[in-house]
Amino acid sequence: MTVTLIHYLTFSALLFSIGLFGLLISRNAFRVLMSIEIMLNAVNINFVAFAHFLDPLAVKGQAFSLFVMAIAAAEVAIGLSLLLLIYRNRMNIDMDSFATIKW
Amino acid sequence: MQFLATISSLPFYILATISIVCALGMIINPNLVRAGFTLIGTFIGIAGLYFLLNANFVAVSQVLIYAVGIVLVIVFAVMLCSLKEEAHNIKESVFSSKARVTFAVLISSLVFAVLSFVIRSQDWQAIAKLTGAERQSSLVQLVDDKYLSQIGFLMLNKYILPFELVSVLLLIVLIGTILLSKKDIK
Repeated sequence: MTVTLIHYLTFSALLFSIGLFGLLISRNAFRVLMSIEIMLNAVNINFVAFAHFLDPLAVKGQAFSLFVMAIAAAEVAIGLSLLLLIYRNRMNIDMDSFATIKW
Repeated sequence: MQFLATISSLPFYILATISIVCALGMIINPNLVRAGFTLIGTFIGIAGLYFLLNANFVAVSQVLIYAVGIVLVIVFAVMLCSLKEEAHNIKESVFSSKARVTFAVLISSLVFAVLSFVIRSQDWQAIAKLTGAERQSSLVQLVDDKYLSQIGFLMLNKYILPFELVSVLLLIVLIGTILLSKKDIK
C-alpha cells in the first residue's frame, strides 16, 4: 500500500470539504477567511501532487501553486483590511449582520 | 516487503492526520486567536506533504508565507478587533443554529462524495502513461538538484505574463490595503 496519487487527491478533497464546512458553519468573518485559506491549500496540494506524479520533469504544477500562494496572500490582506473597516464602522463582525444591501 | 511499504507510507498518514485534525480544531475552537494558531498545524502538515512530493521550494514557501505570514496577520487582526467586548458576543454561538449545522454537514459531505467518486473513477495509471510520467520518473533523481532553476525558468519564460500580473496585483493590494485601513478616508 504505497502512497499514490489517489491518496493525495482524496486527502485534498477531504481538506477542501472541511474548509467548505467551516465556511458554511461559521458566523465570525475571521473564521470564514481562515476556512478559505484551507480550501486554497487543498487546491495547492492537488497542483503539487499532479506535478509530482504526472509531470515529474517539468514542474509546472509547482509554479502554479506559487501563483496561488501569491493570490491567497493578496486576498487575505484585502479581506482583513475590509474586515477592520467594517468592524470600525459597525463594531461587529458577525456574518449574519452584513445584510444591509439585502432587499 | 509489505512491511517496508507500510513504513514508507507512514509519514503521509501522520502528516495528513495532523493537518485534518488541526483544520477541524480551527473550526471548532471557540477562541479565535487559538483557532488562528491551530491553523499553523494545518499549514505545517501540508508543508511536510510538499517535502514528501519532492517540492522543497513550495514547502519552504508554504512555511514562510502561510504558517508565518498569513497566520500572523490574521491573528493580529483578530486581536485588533477583539479589544471591545461586542466582538465576543458571537463567540459562543458558533453552533447556534441546528439547521445551519445540518445544512453545512450535508453540503460538505456531498461535495466530498462527488469529489472522491470522480477521483476513483479515473484511471490514473493510463493517464500517467499518456503523459510519459512512467519514463520520466527514472530521470527525476538526475534533475532533482536542478528543479529550482526549472521553476525560475518557467516563471520567466512560459509564465512571464501571470508572473508580471501577480506583481501588479501585489502592488495594487499594497496601495488598497493602506487606503482601506487609513483612519479617515476622505
